[in-house]
Amino acid sequence: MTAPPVTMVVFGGPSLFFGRLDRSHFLLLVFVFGAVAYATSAAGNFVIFLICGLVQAYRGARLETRRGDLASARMMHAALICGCIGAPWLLSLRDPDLAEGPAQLVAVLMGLLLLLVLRGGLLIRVLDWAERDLNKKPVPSIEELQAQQEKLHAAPKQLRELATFDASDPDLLDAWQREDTARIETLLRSGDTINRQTWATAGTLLNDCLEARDGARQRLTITMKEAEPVLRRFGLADAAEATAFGKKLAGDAKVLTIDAPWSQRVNYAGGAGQAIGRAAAGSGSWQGAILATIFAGVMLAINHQKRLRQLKEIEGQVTAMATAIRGDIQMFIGMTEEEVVPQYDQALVLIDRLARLTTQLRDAETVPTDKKQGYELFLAAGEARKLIAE
Amino acid sequence: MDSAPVEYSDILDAARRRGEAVTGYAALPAGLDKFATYAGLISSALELAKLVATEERDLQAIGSHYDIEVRRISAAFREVEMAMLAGFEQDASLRERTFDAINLLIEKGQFEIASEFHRRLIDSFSRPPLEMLVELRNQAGTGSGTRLRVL
Repeated sequence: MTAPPVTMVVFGGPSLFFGRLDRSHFLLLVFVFGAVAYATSAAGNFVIFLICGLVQAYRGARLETRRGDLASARMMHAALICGCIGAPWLLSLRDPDLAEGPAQLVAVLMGLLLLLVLRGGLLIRVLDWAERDLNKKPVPSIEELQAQQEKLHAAPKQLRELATFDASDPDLLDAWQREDTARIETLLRSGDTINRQTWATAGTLLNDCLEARDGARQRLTITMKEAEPVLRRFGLADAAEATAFGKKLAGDAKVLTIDAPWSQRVNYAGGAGQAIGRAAAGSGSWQGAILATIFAGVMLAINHQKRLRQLKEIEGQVTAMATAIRGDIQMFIGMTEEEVVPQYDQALVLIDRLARLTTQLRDAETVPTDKKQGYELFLAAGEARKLIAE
Repeated sequence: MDSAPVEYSDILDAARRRGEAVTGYAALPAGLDKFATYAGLISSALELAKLVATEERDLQAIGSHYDIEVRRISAAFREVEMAMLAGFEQDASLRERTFDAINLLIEKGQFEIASEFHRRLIDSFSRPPLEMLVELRNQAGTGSGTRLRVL
């Protein structure tokens, strides 16, 4: 097996170059090139392999900080394995001399593959655990749920009190009447800000309610699990399967650009000023100064006219956005009043009912004969099952 | 070195006279030869006149376009809300009737029938999932520049 310097340059160079770029799939190249460089040059070029390994370790450390990028990490892991398996094949195509020591080559690559599997798999599991731990919240106790109830009941009222942009605001109407574009612009900017703040607040309120309901459902699931052994004694076991937890809403809004043709205005005004200055200094004609001044005046008036239309357009957009936000708020009110809050209340009632029935039936020393009592628990468990499934 | 100030208009006049002598054509007096500037000024003045004349009409047109849009968005959102509330209502009503019937069967000792009835009906409740609701909402909100998404 020979170790030509060309191999080092061809395989080692790009691996170092790509290793600096912030793309996880380039890591595959680092490994493939590193493995090939190592295999073709044997121990003499171990430095190349070492450098590739350091680059990979550096990138791996960076990867650990990106907990959200699990899909990419998994893809990278799979690509690395494929790359390492494909490396000897590529190598045998290139250099027939390798046939001299195929067993050695396969052993090296398999060792590398094993390392990758262990390291990559472990890393991904660590990332998974870290993410799960980050998202995991303790299940609220019954007392905590009861304390939250009042806050949840107040949410629809809070949603109703939220204000959005109002195009019939007397200040705005007055500004339109006087064609005061600067004032209109300020009021529209303020309206846009109010819209966005209101929407964010409404979203937070709804998400808080959904989160509280999820907490109640989780507590209900635990209570159901406790009821299961008792139900089994009656031959009525009903599995508690909680689904669709942790859903939240987020809003995306178009960014409205309220840009003014200020630069043009400044240029026209500046041009007129310069012409007047030149005429006064004797280096320009007075006719030119008058023309530039008239031109600047006309352009300012044109800009004013265009600005009015632009602002009317923006007012329409802000109003449309406010309408959609009011629609969302109405929908959130309906959702909380008709579904989330009743479900929360019902969950608390069911938790209490299930716990009470479970305790009563569990404490019975003999095998229960009163089927009706068992069915009460069975029905409560059924209602709970429906409540925890969306 | 002391020299008298040179008038800009005098230099221009002298240049005009030399030009007339060379070309044989009469040059326009100073101030009247800025055709491009005059043409620009006239076209800008015409544009301004047009903008002023159509100001009220244009503003009303823009305003009414958004009035229509706002009414459309408002009606679409109302429909989504009504559909959502109807779904809740239907579910609540079905749930109540189902559990009344089951309780009646249990009162009469029909435990097995009650159990089967319960099992079949409990799966038929159909609350609209959040995703579907958000999809409907986003259709209703087209043109408002806002979108909701489920995290």
